[in-house]
Amino acid sequence: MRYAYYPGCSLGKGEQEYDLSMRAVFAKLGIELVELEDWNCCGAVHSDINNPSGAYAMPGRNLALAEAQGFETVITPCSACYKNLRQASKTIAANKSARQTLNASLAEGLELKGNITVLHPLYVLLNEYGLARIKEQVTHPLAGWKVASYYGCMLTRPKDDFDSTERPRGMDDLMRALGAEVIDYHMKAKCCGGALALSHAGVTAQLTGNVLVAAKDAGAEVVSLACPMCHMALDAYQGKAEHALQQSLAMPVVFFTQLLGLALGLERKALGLDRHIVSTSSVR
Amino acid sequence: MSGTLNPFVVEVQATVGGERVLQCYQCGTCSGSCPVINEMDYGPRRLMHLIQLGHKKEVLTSGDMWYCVSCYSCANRCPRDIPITALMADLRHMALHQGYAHDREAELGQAFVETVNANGRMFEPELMMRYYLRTWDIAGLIGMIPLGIQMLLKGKIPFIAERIKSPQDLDPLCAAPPDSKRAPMSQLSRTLLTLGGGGLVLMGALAGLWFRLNGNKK
Repeated sequence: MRYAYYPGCSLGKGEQEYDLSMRAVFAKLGIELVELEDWNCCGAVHSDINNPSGAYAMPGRNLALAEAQGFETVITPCSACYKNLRQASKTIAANKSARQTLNASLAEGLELKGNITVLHPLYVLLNEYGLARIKEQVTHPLAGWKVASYYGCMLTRPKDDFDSTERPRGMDDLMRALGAEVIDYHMKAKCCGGALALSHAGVTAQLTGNVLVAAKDAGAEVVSLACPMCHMALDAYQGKAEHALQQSLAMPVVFFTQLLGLALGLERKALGLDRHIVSTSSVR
Repeated sequence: MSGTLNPFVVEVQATVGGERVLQCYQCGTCSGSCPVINEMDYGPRRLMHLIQLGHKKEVLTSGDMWYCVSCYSCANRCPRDIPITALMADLRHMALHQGYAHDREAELGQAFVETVNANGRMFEPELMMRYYLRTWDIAGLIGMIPLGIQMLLKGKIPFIAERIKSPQDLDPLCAAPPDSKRAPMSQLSRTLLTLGGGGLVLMGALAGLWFRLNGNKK
């Protein structure tokens, strides 16, 4: 298995632990990731603020790069990048004028002729690699770990083929396969407020706090997630959330790839577990 | 039929997300699903109604679309299949370009686009500096300092911008804001901005330390 890998900007320094653990885990499982050359920002939620075509044209350039570099499938671990690239791919496949607009805006020599499939690594593991194969390779089962999976928004919304938009279960299935005890709680697909982290930090603190409290009250010892923006909110903003809710949380928040890596016997440091704001010392 | 409609309705209907705005029958599922409803002036349901009635100024001066976190909860549940999340983006575009926008999030959007337009990728220190220079949100900046220190210590703050080979290729894809001084920042001013930011963070660290020590004495 070989995929073009689009890390996205957040995985650079801020959430490097996701990038480290993603690459380490996929290498361990024997899935080849080739970083897309010269990829650009997907535009987050701001790409269309000055021109409406930006919503698909910004991610579209990356699809054109993938095609030029000989790939049919791009995988991207950031939920927001994933949603943007996948939506762009669908828009361009369905709408000729969108394709023309994109190709007219691309630099000379770059053109998107076909269609690129965009997938999220979690669902690549579940649907293409298979849980059974992962299970065979687990050397350090997460037995007795109480894990709350947090899906956030854009991993499962807008509605797509891979999971439920209201009660997603993909990450729970993976955690169960790793031997963990999965905690069910009602906030697993609610928003963390990460989008407002700079302009209205108080809102982010409140929404993040609501998610963490729900997970903690349900008995979770660690939260697993799949989005760098969610991680920034739940990990880095946890102090603000504690302050906003007047309640201590001390909840380690890690990426699903880090838990998978631990179960596969990878080193904590190789998975970036020393890089979190909230201590992950209980996660071992 | 469009001749009988309010011009604002026609304007909204012409956008990507607004085509079905008249289909809204006010069930309120959107507002009931919205995680930021408490922050909004109207919430999505009333916003739809105001659009249907043609109340342009109320809609475009509201803070609602700027508080929208694009979580797709409303659009996902809408029984009338109105892509409300996309409509919110269209309202942001309209409010900004017709001079109605006044929320800090509007400035963040522009700071974001400027940063990406200059580098091709996000560079967080530059985003922060551009954002705070646009808003002078001093309280917000001070509130960020303790977290900034923690992130600095964990190596989470980049000092050198990652750039694509030719960032100018992004101009047609991601237009810089109309009010932006388009000339890309020189390396010198970029370095100065980053150093300035670093200085502020350090000053904050010292202030925070001082407060903490004094607090403990009590």
